[in-house]
Amino acid sequence: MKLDKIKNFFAGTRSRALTTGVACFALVSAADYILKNEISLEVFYFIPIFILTWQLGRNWGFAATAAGIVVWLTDERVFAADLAQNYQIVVWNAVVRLAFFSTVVILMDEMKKLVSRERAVSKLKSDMIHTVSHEFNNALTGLSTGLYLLKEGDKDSDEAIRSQLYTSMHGSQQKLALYVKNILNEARMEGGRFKIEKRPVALRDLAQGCVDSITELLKQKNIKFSMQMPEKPLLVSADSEALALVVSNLLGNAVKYTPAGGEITVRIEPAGARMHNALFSVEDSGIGISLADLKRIADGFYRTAEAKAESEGFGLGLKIANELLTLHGSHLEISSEKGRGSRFYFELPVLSAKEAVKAEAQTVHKA
Amino acid sequence: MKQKILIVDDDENILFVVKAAVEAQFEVFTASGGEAGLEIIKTEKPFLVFLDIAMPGMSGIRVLEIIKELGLEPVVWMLTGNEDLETAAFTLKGGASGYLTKPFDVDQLRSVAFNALADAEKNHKQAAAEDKPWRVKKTGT
Repeated sequence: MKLDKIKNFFAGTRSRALTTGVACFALVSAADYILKNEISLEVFYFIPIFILTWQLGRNWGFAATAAGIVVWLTDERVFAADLAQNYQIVVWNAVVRLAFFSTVVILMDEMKKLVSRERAVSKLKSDMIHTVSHEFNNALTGLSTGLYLLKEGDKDSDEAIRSQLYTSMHGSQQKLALYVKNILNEARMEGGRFKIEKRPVALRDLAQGCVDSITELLKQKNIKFSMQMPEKPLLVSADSEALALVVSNLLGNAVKYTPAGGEITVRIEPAGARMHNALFSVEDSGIGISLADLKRIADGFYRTAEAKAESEGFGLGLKIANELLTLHGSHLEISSEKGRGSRFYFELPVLSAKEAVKAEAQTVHKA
Repeated sequence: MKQKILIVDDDENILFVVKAAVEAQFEVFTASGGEAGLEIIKTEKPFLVFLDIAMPGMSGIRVLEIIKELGLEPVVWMLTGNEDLETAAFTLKGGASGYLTKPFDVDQLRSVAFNALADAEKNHKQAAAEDKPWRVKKTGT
């Protein structure tokens, strides 16, 4: 209890830390002054320096160190006794103090940084566990309740309700599957154990498959959806499962953050020098992302204030999408304007028919 | 006439299954957010509200506060995952009648609804009974 009080006191405002630090400093230097000739109190300057560095940062620590040196140098007895006879000793003592306390300040500051980083990471993880279990419980509730009702109404329930229950359960199951995939992939990627197997993939078919799984959601939110594809399928060399996860994450986000009645456009088009790349893009009329938030999203588990207000989630989707694309030698690009929508896109090199045949033959050979 | 129940949850699948579980016995309204839920409470005056705690935007806690501030009548049961048990216990002090932990049983859900209905009817009769002596007294003076 008492310890808590002390902790709370130190965790308080800057001005309180400053007052404590300065008061401590005054106390130590006064005692030092009085007892100079009998006992050395130098080491106790550590206390105010510690408080100031920990609470207010290294600049304040250095300031306290400098003040300590000044106090000591301006002590008339030091001047009177030492300076006249041997000024090297005075300078040497000052340098030793300066070096010792500066080292303390730097170490303290580094430690503080480490501690805050650790705290941020563990908060992030516990936030994630919280969100994960929230989402899992929701999906499980959807499944278990749906199952119960289906069982209960086996004989006489009408067909319309049954089919609605199946749709709702299918939705819960799909959500659950995507969460598990994302979390596992993130863990695998953090552990550096993620391997992709590239094969020729028709980007068009892959995208169509992902779009099919969100049609129900699009209908529910009354979102205007359009898909623009080239006439000939563009073949890329990719791990179809990984790429499907990228596309599902992008589509899922678009649906999540586009308000009812909004618009989503998916495009696949040739791009790049000599049109050797396939450009895949998802454009939405959603809440958009500010520049500052875009940078934080890359770290993972970050969700903008707007995203939190809009919908539940982990803040992992875009990070994973980008990491998976990196494994394919590409990366996720975003252009977004807060409040006006976002466009997420990436490019992958297109395989020519010859290359495709060769790549296919190689994978068969390997298998 | 069927009694009215409101379910407030941001997950559309939950709204659907909870509604399906109780709609044979009750008239069920659903809302996917706190603001919409409050609107329905004011206009439809349900006797029971199932209220999700963790919702984006206005949280269930805030909705409960507003219900109590405005002196609205419904019995409130919170819906929560086991990650939020401390918060759920806290809502009991704030005027919630109880909480259901996701994933909950359909039986549990229904018994909550029926018990709440029985309580509401009992209170109603009691209030009516308590009314009488007061009237007699008044006419007597």
